[in-house]
Amino acid sequence: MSETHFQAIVIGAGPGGYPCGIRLGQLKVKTLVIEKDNWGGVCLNVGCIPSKALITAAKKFEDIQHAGDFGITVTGDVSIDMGKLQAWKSEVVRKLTGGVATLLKANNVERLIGTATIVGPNEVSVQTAEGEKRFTAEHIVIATGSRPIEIPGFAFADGPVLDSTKALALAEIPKRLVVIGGGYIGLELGGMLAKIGSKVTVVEALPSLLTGFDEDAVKLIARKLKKAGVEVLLSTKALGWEKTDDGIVVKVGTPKGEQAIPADYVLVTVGRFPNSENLGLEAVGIQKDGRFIKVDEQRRTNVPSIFAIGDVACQPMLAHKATYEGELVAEVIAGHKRVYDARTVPAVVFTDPEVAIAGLDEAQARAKGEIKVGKVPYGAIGRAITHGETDGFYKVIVDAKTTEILGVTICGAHASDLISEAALAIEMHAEALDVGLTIHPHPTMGEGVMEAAKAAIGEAIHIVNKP
Amino acid sequence: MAWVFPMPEVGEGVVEAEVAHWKVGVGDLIKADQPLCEITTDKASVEISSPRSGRVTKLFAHAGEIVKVHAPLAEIELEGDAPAPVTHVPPASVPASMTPAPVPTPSAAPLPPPVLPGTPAKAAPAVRRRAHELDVNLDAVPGTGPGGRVTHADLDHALATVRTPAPAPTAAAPLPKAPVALPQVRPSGSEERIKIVGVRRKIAERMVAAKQSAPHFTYVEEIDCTRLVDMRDRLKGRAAQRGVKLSFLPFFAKACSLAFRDFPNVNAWMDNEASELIVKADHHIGFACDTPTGLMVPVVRNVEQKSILRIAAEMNDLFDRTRAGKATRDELGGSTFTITGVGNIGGVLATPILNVPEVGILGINQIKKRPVVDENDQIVVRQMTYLSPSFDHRIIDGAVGARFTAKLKEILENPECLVLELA
Repeated sequence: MSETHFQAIVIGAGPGGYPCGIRLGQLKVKTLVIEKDNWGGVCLNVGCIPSKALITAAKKFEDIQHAGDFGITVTGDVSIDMGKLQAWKSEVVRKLTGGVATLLKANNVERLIGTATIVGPNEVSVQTAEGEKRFTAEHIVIATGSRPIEIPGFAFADGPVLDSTKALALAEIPKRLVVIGGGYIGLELGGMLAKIGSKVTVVEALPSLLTGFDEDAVKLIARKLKKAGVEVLLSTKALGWEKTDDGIVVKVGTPKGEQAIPADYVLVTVGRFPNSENLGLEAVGIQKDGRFIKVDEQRRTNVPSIFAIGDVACQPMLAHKATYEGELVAEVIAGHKRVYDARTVPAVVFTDPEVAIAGLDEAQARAKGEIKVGKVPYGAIGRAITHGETDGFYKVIVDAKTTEILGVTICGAHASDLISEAALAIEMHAEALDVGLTIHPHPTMGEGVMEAAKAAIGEAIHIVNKP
Repeated sequence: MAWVFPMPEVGEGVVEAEVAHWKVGVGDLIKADQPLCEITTDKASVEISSPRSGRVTKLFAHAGEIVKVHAPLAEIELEGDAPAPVTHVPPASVPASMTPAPVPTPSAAPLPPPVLPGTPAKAAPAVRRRAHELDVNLDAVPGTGPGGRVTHADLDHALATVRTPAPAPTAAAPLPKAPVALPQVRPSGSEERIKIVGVRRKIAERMVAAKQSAPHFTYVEEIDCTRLVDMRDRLKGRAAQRGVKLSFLPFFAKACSLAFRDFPNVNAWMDNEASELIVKADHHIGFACDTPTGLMVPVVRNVEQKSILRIAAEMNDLFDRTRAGKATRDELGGSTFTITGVGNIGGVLATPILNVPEVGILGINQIKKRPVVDENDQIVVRQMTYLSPSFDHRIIDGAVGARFTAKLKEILENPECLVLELA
């Protein structure tokens, strides 16, 4: 690459940056994408994808243990070879990240590995293996993502203290694990490790797990965690840790007093901070909003030539929101008239059972006005029973007067694959009957969405409707 | 009883039509078969008559707006039921936005009232994106979709309703009261905005489609029409005895039809989506026709099977009816090749724009006596013209276009060969 001037430079090749680069390439905007570590960012390398790979393996392991329910006899020991599992996970990651680089190339996007700093409204300095390079561009897109929050007393540099990245690369199954933070990352990883044999204790500072999620869903997940042998300490603060003869102890402050929990590792998942430091924002006077970069509805910063997308720009810190923003910004740069205009960013948690939500949850909707709620248990859906997955529910929340669908929460097996229909319904301003009158194939999990929509207006078939 | 008259089916494949203008207003009495309005499809203007008698109580579209087939067109309080007072129009029954447009109002037509204040408009993501691009506030657009959702059509409607504001009264200094002999000078900067609707809009769309989708070139050849002029002059009287005015056009049409035998790909449609050329066995030749409302293309079908006299007779009838706005939609479409010419007005030659999806169009120009050097190096007076056909270069290369034109030249310079082709 000999050019030093581009129409657009994208800093970061995660789920915000790389689609931004591809879309820019499609729109014939001469683009350079700069990545600090690996193509695909956290999502593909040390986030969404590897965690789902391990969660799938843990689920298969659990299913084999319960194979007897289906009349399947498994003889001999069922065990996990962590080395082989990690190798398979790495192969999954390699396939996907390789795809990112190929797509960027196919769309004539220049690529560079290095650490970028903004040195002017139209200039970027990059530290590469071959030294510093400088590039100019009409537009700069900051897509630097976020990183796990470190808390006092639990430095990630220390061996037994894990962040999510290290937890996904464990060479052994921890015998005893303390998870600090009962949010979605902690419960996904803690739950996964519990399934493959760890004794897991979850420490949450707030009085509830998964704060902000549907209460019914949280109750169900808490019940399943307990069943899996996970201990949950609520309203409990993590104080510190010490080495012992056979591992460590994690000291926590519970409402009943201090407690020392023996463990091998402690996983800290208390949230993520946007990567908005050391970028040179101050040099060009880019304003921040807390730790986020302040952006407008086009994701433009106060410096007109510079945009920010994804986790570094605003909540929710979700890969698919970053992707939407990446494409949006690419089109804005290409001169299209565009603005962030999504009604809902669906969210999915890969706990057991999964939770997926689009639009408002029940509590948010109630606070806004009169609603009706249609709730259908998994046990009423034929396909759920044949899956052997009857723990769960579908909940469709509609406006009491217009029956417009305001939100959908699904908790249970395959919830993550069922929520997109709800997101579409919300974007299209569908009413309960729009979903209710759409013929859903039988026997499928999707029927539950239809039934819950009908339940919201008292027309469900497979449950007794509430008066 | 109020009866809603829906937009009738006006032709095969026609899904919508534009209301060109209303012939009645709200409150007017209308008799069965009395014209209600004139509509324009992509091909033709059609007069729609009311099938029933009564009083018009509502018009569902402004002039210039598109109405889908089967969508409400007008509401009529049927005769005999609930006699409405003759002089009084119930104002409440007519929303301001539906006041018929024919009477030009100096002020902007009011936009329909916004939906409930504070209620964000219901619209799908694609509609929302387009509204944003067009700077339309969706909250102010009434939705006709399911559950009051704003659709693309509603957006179109809202755009069409935003009328051009009348020019602000100019605060020009009062003119001297004394009798002014000189013509009044128009205040500078005054202009008129004319909405491009109806046939004009269709023409505009077709031309843009041709220029954008079909890269076409024009080739020009000189033709000695002396023998053709002589032949036509001798046949003119005989044709007149049969009641047919014989122009040169039927000869050109027949010549094209003969040339298509050797060049079938010139008589074809281009299917851009499928990337396929549809070679037509029928020689349906369209003739560009200048009408008061704009360019129309009446079509003489199966020229390959018809005599020159018959082509002339059909053409004359079609031209008369097209200019009078009486040609049917079917007669104004379906051509496989088009002939155009403004030689009767003047000019040396024109470069025609394709009538897509056709891949060829023949421009014919003024036949005029010109000095020509003959084979004996003598300057002689000959009846000359230029042929200026345009071809879609995706299909027809320059050499092929030139050979096709050479074939036309051969036929037209030796018009007696047409006799051999009599059916």
